[in-house]
Amino acid sequence: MSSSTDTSRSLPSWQIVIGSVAIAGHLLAVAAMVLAAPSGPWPSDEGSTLSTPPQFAYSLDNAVPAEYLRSIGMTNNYHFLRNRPVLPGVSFEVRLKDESGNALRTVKFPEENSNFWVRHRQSLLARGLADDQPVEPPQGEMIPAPNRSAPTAQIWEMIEDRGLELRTVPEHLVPRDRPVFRPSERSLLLARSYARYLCRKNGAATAELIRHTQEPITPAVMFMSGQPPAAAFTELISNFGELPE
Amino acid sequence: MKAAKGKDGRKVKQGSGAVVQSTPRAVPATVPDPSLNNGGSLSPRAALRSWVDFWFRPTDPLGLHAIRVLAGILFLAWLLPMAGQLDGLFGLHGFFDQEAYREAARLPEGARPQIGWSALFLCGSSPMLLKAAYGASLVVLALFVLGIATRLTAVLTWVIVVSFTANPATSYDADALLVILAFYLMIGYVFLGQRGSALSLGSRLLGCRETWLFFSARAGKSAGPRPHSVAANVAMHLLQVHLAIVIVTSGLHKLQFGDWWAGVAFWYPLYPPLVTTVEEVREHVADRISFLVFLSLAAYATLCWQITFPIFAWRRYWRKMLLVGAIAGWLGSAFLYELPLFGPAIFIGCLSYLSPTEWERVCDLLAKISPFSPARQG
Repeated sequence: MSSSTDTSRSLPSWQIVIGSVAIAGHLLAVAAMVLAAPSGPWPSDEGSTLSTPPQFAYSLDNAVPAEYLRSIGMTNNYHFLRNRPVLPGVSFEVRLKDESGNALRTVKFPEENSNFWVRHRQSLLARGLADDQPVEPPQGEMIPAPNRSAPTAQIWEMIEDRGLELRTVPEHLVPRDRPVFRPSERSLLLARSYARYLCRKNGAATAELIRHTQEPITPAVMFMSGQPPAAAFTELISNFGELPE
Repeated sequence: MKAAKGKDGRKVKQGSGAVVQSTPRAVPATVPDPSLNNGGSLSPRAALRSWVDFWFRPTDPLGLHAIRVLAGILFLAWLLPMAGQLDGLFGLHGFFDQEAYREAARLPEGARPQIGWSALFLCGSSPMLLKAAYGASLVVLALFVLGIATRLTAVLTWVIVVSFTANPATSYDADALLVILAFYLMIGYVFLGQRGSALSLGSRLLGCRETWLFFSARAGKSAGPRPHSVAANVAMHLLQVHLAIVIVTSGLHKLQFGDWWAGVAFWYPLYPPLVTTVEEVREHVADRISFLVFLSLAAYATLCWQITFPIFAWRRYWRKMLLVGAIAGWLGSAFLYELPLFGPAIFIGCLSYLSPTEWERVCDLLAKISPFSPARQG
């Protein structure tokens, strides 16, 4: 007895056709989403850049109703963050203050006394703050319209030896003699949201959010004849300022 | 369905729960997995037959039940430790609050975090409602593990998993694996046994009592063989194919980073920033070559396992490679990367490749070593 005979006997043909279309359509949608993810960063003449997805996958992904995968909760393209070996270590502390500016308490995340699972989620909160992006200085100087102020940009300014502070400067004053970075819009959104939550929870008026990051120590350290420079792997402290603004 | 001769000379159906249950080792090891049966022909007719065989052959739902129990326990283990942090991690007045959702919606598309739906949004900003939803979710997950009203609890479990992973500030990659497990289990249980004509309305809506975790143990042999199910086959194969896509994609993604090619990818989680000093790293200078050789071999073994995954995942002969790799991945993700969910989710996904016969053997083995087994009690 052939196996297909058994199968076709156990399920009507129309159900097989409908099931096949549903299965193929679903898996095609998943595959298209995976292939339509940009790849990289790849080295190029302009530095590291992301590469666009192949056109067939992009077109196929656009052909799938956007709501389908979102509605079933499958929007991850499986280009996992942890596949990137070199990720900076991140933690953050929040200094809570009352209306008079007096310090109420300082909370640090991830919390040392939390359980493994919660601490992991808190480390994800911290990771969200470490998405800095380069700032391109404007090619020319913009002159504001009458009664209007010059366009501004938020950038990380070096304040001490190893400290950064988030400052808002006119765009034409963005330094051109060194690489300049700023937190991504997403990081800023998260910082404001964390501050609001912690203020609400602790009855504080403002919260000063300070991010601690450190680049990982590379294997090259094992092959150095002497000690690496003291400043090579030190912690970088970045102050988002007092929030909510 | 192809027939093979068992040791007792009786013809047995491949993957037949009835025969396998009574004579677990009656099916010869050389019997091919039905899912691999393509007859070696590439004609359109043979391809179509293979497709139909692969997806729509009724199989013993034992694997589906086992994955349900394991995945349900994982869902509980994931949700239970969050009990003290509900407001912060899941509430609309938490770390990612209502205002943040509004701001995120205004961001340009590339910068916008992925925002999905969540049943927890219905709780608004009420901590009491959130606690009630959390408590109810734990009850549903427990019922799902126990196999009670699985038709309903499978759907609710999927809703729970999607809802508790929707927060853009705290979601991460392994959450996607939980959704995959929950979604295909839901597909399996919604359709499991629906073709039976003698089903009561209650069974049709809520599920059969055969799915209860301890039903077969109580009913013993009188329960009879488990009815085979197309839904169980479809659910397991969807899970298998999707997991293969995930693992291969992740493996290929790793190749975009030079440190994987250089074989030092595992160096970085071994010496995480903020907690490691240069002095600690340089303690291993004396045996640095052997250390880096070991790390690079481990990195290349990982890449090899991930990229070639579809080649061995469906083959019984390579089962040890599948499971040893999954266990190594679990240990690595837990102890090296400190990721609590990734390893078990991948491991459970890999277990979905086991055939009903293999699950029977696992159950027999568990029964033998269980202190409550009749064999042990004499």
